[in-house]
Amino acid sequence: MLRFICLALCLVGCASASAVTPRPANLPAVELTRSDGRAEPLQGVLAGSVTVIDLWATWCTACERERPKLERLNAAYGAHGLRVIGLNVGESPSVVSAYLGEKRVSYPVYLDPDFRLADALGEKRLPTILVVDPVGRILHRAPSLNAETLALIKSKLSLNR
Amino acid sequence: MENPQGAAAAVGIERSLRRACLLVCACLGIATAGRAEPASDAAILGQSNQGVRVDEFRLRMTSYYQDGHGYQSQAGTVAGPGSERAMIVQPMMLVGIRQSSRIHHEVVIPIDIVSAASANALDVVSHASAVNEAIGVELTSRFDLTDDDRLTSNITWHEEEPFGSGSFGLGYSRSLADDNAVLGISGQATFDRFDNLQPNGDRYGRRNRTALNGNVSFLQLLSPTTVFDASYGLTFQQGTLQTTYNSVPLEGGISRTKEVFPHTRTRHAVQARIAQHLPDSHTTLRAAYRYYTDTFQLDAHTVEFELHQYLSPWLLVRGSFRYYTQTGVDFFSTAFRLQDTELGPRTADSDLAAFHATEYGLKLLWLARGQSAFDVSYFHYSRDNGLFANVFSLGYGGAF
Repeated sequence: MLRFICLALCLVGCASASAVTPRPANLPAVELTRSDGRAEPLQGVLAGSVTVIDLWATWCTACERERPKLERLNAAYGAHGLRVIGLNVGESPSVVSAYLGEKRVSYPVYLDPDFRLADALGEKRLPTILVVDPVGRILHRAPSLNAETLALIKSKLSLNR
Repeated sequence: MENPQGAAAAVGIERSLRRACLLVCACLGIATAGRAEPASDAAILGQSNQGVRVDEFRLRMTSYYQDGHGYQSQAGTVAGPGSERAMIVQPMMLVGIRQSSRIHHEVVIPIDIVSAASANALDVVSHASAVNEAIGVELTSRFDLTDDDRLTSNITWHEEEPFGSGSFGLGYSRSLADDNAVLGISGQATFDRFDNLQPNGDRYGRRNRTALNGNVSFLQLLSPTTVFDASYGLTFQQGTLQTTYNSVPLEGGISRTKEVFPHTRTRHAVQARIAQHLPDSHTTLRAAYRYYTDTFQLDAHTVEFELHQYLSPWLLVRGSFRYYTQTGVDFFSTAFRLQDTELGPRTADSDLAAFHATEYGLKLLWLARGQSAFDVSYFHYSRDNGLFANVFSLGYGGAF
């Protein structure tokens, strides 16, 4: 029995090694490519706004469930200065374009086909929701848009009721 | 950020203009309520319906046909193997119930209809399995204690003519490293009671057995498209572990004696799995390895591969292959010698012999509109000690 426990602990230990890597507190200074092919520096993308970044992929069903929530968030708080953007990770521009051609996505979508930004952010899960302040500090990370995320967004937009 | 102050000022001007526009619109009676007042959290999160509701429904019909020969069956000659042919039809219904945003229940009702076209041991002595029905209920509940902590519980009940079973279990999982990893532990207790049916058809009251099981599992995201998980399970069984009506041929082919197992059995299983998604081709590859051993001296290895391929956004095909090999228990015999070990353990059950087995499977899943899905699947299982099975399944599921 001991050898099985050792083996199990070994597997757990090997697997968890990557879980302890600290993740950055700020967005890295990178250039992003929009789904229409335009390149923009990340700071320009943020445009001095509180920004919600949704890391997603076309194959990710959990991401699909987040999209209506992000649409409603954009509709509700876009007028109050919130910026919502999508960041597709790991997929080619043609795949993303074909997907966006079928779906109605009202907020801008950017591409990270080589996981460059996702790796720099230390994010491996999809979907991931990031809340970023106007100067690029990452305030919040979550696997989905939830009540805690909304409370933070409202506090940053000074909309607490 | 090259010029955050300038950008902020631009946004400030934009906000002022928007406010002015909204004020004009409000005066003209054009402004909508949604613009004047942001939607509620519940509306944004899609939680407007907070009450108890059914959020998932699935139906499945599975037919299982097996044929082959095993020495535990009395349907052959005294010394030889008998038929293991059987047909099982299993309709199954699953209902998912959302009690609140943090509590979810799942009720599964499987029904087995067993038609043994030729006799196994039970058919020789009883009509019970000529056509036999079994029904069960499984209730699994999930409680999200926090965003990172989850408690699960399950209760199952199963009943058929010579056999009844009940079990309950508890599990706890915790998300670590911002959900990049999940650690889980779980335990299960199972209690079986059944007629003490002898190979000659006599019944001697009831017998019981108990199984206690504990598992620890760990899941780790290695990349956005790569998942690894590993688990270890320990099971302890106690009671009447043998199938009381199974028989073992005696040496010389003159007669048979009943199967006898040790009173306890301890089982260990360790498993590792990895899944890799290939976004550009919409393909997912999965591989798994499992090692099993127990105190009956049975060692087993399982290797499994799966390929999931989206042929279109609404059509998914899954191919699978599984290879399994086991050593067999150390008291397996097809010609048992009755000596002073008469009361010792012995079995001729082909499930406990040394064998190699393979399974090929193909499944087609059609994702229809409204989060409903239809699937059809076929599996062929065969092993080198004389048994094969064909499994055909049709399913429908919908989420609400």
